[in-house]
Amino acid sequence: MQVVKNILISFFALYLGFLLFMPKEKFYYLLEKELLKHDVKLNEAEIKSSFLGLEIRDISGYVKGIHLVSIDEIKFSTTLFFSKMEITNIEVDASLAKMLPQPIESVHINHSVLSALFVNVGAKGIFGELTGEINLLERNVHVDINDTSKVPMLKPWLTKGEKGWFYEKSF
Amino acid sequence: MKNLFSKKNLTTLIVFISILLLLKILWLVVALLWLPSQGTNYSEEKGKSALFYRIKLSPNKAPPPKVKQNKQRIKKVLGNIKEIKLLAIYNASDTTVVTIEYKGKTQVLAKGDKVNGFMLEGAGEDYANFSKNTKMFKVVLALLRDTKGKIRHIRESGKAKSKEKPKSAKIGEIIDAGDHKIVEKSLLTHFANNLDEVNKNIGIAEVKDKNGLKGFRISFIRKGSPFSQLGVKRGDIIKTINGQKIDSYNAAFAVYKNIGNIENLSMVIERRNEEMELEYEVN
Repeated sequence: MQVVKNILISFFALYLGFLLFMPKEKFYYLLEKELLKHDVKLNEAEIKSSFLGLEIRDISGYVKGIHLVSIDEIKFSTTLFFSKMEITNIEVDASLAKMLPQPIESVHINHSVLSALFVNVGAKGIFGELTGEINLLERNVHVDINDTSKVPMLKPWLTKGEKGWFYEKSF
Repeated sequence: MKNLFSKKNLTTLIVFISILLLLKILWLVVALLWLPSQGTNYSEEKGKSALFYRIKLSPNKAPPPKVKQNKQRIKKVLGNIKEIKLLAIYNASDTTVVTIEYKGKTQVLAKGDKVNGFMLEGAGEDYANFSKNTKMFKVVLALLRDTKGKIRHIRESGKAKSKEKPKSAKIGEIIDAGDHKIVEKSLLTHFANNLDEVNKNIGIAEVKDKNGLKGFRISFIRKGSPFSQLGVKRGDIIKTINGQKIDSYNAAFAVYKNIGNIENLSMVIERRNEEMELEYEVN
């Protein structure tokens, strides 16, 4: 019994230590570094590290030096069994207004160990609500869009299915 | 209390703290060896000023000279003035130049020049005044792009032949006024609001050297598009636009974002290792 107790305490200590001491800010810097390879730069006003995640506020996104996107907040959180990323209030530059729907209220990306091969995505915005998933095994993205009337600019990339319009791409 | 600080519990606590400490050290090593210590903050170029500014001292919006007209007289001699077709107007406070077509030939007339006995007296925004034997004649400019991309007249001597304009006319025109070209503002506004339309009509490729991005080369121009009338050619390197050096995506995009609000447009290009300046009037 004592052995089981010790094992459980050790696992708890490992789990706690892993999450508590994870250099979350530095992982974010690593993401910035990777994005830089694709000429994408992120400027943020504040990075706040918490026990289970990271909050980044007032982000400006630059693509090839051009300020194209402003984001109010990005929240990463993970319990190792369930990870979540939430992006709030995405504003795209007015010059891209005819290419991208805006405003986008929120985007969320979730991953759970219970369905480890799938990543769920969703967004809310002028287009209503969209849901989809990324299949990591088959390496494809499928997103269903309920209402396309307010996003005619996206139609060239969408396909009409039995349930409505959807976007599908392999990577 | 005695039970809390028993040897067994203290051992468990020490193991617990040791694991946490071990993980802390482990993460520290990972961070020091593989993770970047700071982010890549980008400092946006702000307040980057143009190499020079063009100041328009005599805007075309100035009211045209008032000319007393006698409509009946114009009507009587319509047959003579009808041979003159007004193609383009350049109007400033000290200079008035018009491009006309007379007997199938294109001519550029300055104020005081004569054609078929008609002397150019002045011009307004969309018309020119000619005089002959103390009589005044008004020739209205109205150029319209037809579906084949050729320029044709829709109105002559103040009379409209067609009231309906095709949809393509709405986006604006580039008019050749001889020594320079006139770009209609509506055309600039159209492209400023439709980035995908720009991409369909003109291709821009990066020009790089050892130090990075040097400029942008025109990789293609769609035949018959407004860009093909600007005087630029495939292979030209765009050096400056309105005095703003185009050596970064940010600079190029800043120019693009303001293109709908400009009054004049000038461009320095490099063609076969020679620099050329192209000037346009925005009307």
